[in-house]
Amino acid sequence: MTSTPLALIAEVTHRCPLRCVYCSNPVEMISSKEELCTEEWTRVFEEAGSLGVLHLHLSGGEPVARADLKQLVEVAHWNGLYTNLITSGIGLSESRFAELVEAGLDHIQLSFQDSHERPAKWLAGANVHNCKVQVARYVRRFSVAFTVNLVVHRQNLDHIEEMVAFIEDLAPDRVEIAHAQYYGWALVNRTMLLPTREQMDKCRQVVEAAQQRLAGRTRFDCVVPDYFARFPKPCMGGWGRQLMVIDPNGRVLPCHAAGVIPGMTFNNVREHSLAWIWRESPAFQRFRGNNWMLEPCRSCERRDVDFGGCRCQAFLIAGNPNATDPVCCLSPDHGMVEEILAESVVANQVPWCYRKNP
Amino acid sequence: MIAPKDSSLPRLAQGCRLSAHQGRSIVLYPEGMIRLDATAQNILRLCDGQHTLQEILEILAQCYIGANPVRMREDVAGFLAKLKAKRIVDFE
Repeated sequence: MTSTPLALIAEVTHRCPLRCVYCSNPVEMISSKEELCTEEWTRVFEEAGSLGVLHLHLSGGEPVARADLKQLVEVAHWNGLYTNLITSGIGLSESRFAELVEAGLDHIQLSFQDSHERPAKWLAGANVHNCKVQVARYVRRFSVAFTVNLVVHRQNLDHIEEMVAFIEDLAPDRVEIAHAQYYGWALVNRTMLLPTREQMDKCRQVVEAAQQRLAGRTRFDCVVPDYFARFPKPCMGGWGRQLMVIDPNGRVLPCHAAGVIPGMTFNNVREHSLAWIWRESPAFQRFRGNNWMLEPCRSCERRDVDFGGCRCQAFLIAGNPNATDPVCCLSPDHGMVEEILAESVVANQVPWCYRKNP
Repeated sequence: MIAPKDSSLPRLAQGCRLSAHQGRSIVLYPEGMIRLDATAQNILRLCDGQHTLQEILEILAQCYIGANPVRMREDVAGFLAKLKAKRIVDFE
């Protein structure tokens, strides 16, 4: 039996005032003309509520770029969804935020690039750091859950202590230390972003110390870079098991990056119900369960723990979406990951490829 | 682990709320949910910032007649401390 989806990630737009070098959006983006309209998102959130979805993540691009964001939050709330806004904070005034809270927003996740203005500008391709600090100050005065998200990588990990102190001062309920994941724009810029093993170890120590010091005040969650792990991450909690992503024009994907896998067709909420897409559509069926697995996954005792890892990563590194995720130490392609790591450590400074706007 | 005092006023943390899923009681928090058994549900319903831990224990004692009060205090305080670490419950 197919389980029910627990969370829906709604990428309501690809428009964004920032140009972050590690953006997880696809390199080919969707223009505003093609975006789902308010009525279409309304129907999608109603369907999600009846399907049993619990969490809605309003994401982008920058979701604040949608003029109808308050209506979207309202509809989500009416349909019982726990609503989270994933934002850079740019374009979000205090009065507009108050309206979103009034409409039923439960949680805001505000992203930072660094603790200092200059490197933040260099990474985001825009001068927005001080504006984000202002947003963090007023957010804390509202009764919503507040998460600060910090993406870490080789260019900022050397001052992880400073960044953690900076975040502590913003007094969030939760901190996400997210190592860049190598899809979308982060894959394009991977040689500049991959951390060294020393940086990784130091980061772990600093975060563990902060976790202990701030216990009961701020909770820390870490997204580890799986290139360094022995076993792969259970990507999206398993293909078509817990999550779905809807892109700005209504295509429903089992994960953000699934569009890179050749030969996939993603059905659209403009033509099908969310329930049908979740249960029946070929894209969601393709890597569900473990019949598609090759060796060593097929007979591995971890096959229902990490579900073979990430299908997109298997394709992007090993060229075969059915293969064992090459970050797994048991993968016959694991040497390719070791090579990528070795190359990035000796790589010279190359210019960033900044995210484009649709 | 930070334990509550008898005079603490436990409440659900900001952005956390009780709900139901597939006929079961749950608590929703950023990025997750926890399924609640009947006892956990009874405790969290009393975590409204109006009842002290002492009062919560007195109310629970009426529901669980014959329960050892020392043991019950340990269990409830431990449960609340665990949820505070996850930022689901708050108290001073």
